[in-house]
Amino acid sequence: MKKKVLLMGKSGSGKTSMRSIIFANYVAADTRRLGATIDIEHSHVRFLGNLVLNLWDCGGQDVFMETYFRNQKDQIFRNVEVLIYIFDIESRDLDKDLQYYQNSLEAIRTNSKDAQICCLIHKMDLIPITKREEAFRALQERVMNLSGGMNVKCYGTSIWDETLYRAWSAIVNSLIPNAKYLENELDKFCRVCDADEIILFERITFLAICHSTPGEFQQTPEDGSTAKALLPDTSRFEKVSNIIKLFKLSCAKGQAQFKSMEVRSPGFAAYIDVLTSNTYVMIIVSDTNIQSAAVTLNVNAARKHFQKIEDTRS
Amino acid sequence: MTTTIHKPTRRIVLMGCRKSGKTGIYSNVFRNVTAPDVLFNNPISTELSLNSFLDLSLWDYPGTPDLYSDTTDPAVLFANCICVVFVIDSKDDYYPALKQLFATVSSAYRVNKNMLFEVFVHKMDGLSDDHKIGSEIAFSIILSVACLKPIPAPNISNAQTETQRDIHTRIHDELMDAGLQDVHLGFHLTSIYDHSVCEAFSKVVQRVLGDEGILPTLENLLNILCSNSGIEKAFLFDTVTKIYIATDSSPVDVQSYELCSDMIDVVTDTGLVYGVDSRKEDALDKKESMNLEDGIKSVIRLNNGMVLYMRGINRTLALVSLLREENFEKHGLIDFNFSVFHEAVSEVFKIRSVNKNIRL
Repeated sequence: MKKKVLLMGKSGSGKTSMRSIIFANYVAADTRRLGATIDIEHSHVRFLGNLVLNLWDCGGQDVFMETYFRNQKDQIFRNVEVLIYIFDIESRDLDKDLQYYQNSLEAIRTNSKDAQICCLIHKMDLIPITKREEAFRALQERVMNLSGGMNVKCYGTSIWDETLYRAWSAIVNSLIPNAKYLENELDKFCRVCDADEIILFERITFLAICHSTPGEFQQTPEDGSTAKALLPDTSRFEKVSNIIKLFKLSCAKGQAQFKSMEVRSPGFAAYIDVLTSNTYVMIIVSDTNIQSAAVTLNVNAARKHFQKIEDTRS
Repeated sequence: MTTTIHKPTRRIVLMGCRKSGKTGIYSNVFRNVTAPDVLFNNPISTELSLNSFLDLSLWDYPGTPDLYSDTTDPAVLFANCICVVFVIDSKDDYYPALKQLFATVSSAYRVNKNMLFEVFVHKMDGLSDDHKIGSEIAFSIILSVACLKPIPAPNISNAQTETQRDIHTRIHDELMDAGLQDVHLGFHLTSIYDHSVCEAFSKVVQRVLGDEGILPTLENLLNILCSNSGIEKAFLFDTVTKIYIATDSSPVDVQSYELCSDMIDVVTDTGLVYGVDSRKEDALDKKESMNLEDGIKSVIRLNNGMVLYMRGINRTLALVSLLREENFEKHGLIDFNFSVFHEAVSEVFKIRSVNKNIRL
């Protein structure tokens, strides 16, 4: 199943950089080496085995932009599944960026009207932490005003932290077929394991593709008083993606590959292991009486079932 | 991290020219500021007490202290100081830096004959890998004192140019003339964008610990643990700064150090996501509230048959070790060996804290 994804935005906004980080195992610092994209770079990314993302990385220099809208409109904007438009938060010529954005929207509306539109407000790391929220909101509002009632999602991103994973996770999730079914199965698995949370990650990108969180997080305080609910960190999936991906890269430096991980601490135990040929699973258990061998056994037992789900999707 | 209860008696001073990256190192290693965010630093002078078991404080001294002027008294500046870390910007003109280094060394030496000197040739990330080898500055600075201490670095293999010889002899002669031939300078190539600065700081802390006689004991304990459990390499890490305060006597290769240090990141970060109350805003606060004392335990398996095994020892210390998968099969035994090791290490620190009368 091929899905066409357009990456657009002005030159130097970071399209190729983010693509390289998510799909080509670059670390943020490596992206300095990347040069400007000339014309359009096509790449096919196999995601979850049978879903192929056809990425069109459109060089953002004015010359190219003009030709896209003048001569190649049909070709580029036809059959688009997702348009990802990237804004540089520190752009010097925001009006022009917004003009191009509007042009792209129009082209999308005529050529593939069911396409999803995501705006990534990028390079948030350039803004001091205290002012980030404000700067994001200001630009988001301008973008929304131009979007004329279309369903546009905005994300603030930076290649230097987990925000990039959040945005891409959301984008990719919307493209996965029968995600609902997968979620149901994961819920069942979660109940069997008596886990607090189970997250499924794609193997190569380590983007979170599905999760199951049956209830409130519980933590039993040491003094034996009543259990209190822990407020889960809302950005925990992308944080984990980021953490593990970075670790995978540092493993790769030593000619080794990450296989599985287990962390046991007084409040919780976390297990990450390969589930199917295309996924990793992360299991969070707060009941410390559950032994790690039991969890490993459950994962081994579930592996076959999830592999079958994956295979039937193709 | 700052404990007001006990003020460490000894200090490490971080010095160097303006903009050489002192505060960058300081915030990156000790304040957990990520490399890109270091850019927002303001030049300041700060003092920080390191974790209580080290009984050290680190002083980030502002650039260009005029050591010749009458206003700065070296006796005050270097009071209680046991180690000077001198930072040189490898991308800048290094002659003024060398001059200042010399001034610093000679005045500090006069205050305390046992003072340790460590030179960080910093901002190595600015140079590409090819350049690092050819980099004149890295060469020359290292070689300038190679006679004082041979550096086991692959980067300084062959070819000595005239300039390098020049600086080499110059610094050496100058130190000789000043009667400082006994001064021991340690050299490290560092960058805050990789592990090199943490590793360099590890070496610094180990020299300080070695001076005080605690290091051999810890190393010995680690050796015993390794040989009895089939562990290939073990580090005793400070989990907050990722400085290792001791390792077993087998040679350290950069890759296993990096892997172990990254493992701490993975484990503490996952802990931050799930183990603690997410309502706490400050990351450092969270790390504080994370209770490593009760024995965090983590195992990471790699596909090349290696296993990373980590155990928390106390609030800030953890053992991270690397072993073959076949040796990990009897992990019950390793767990037991670790508990013995844990007891021994706690004992060492207990005796030390009694001697020094500090709170552990």
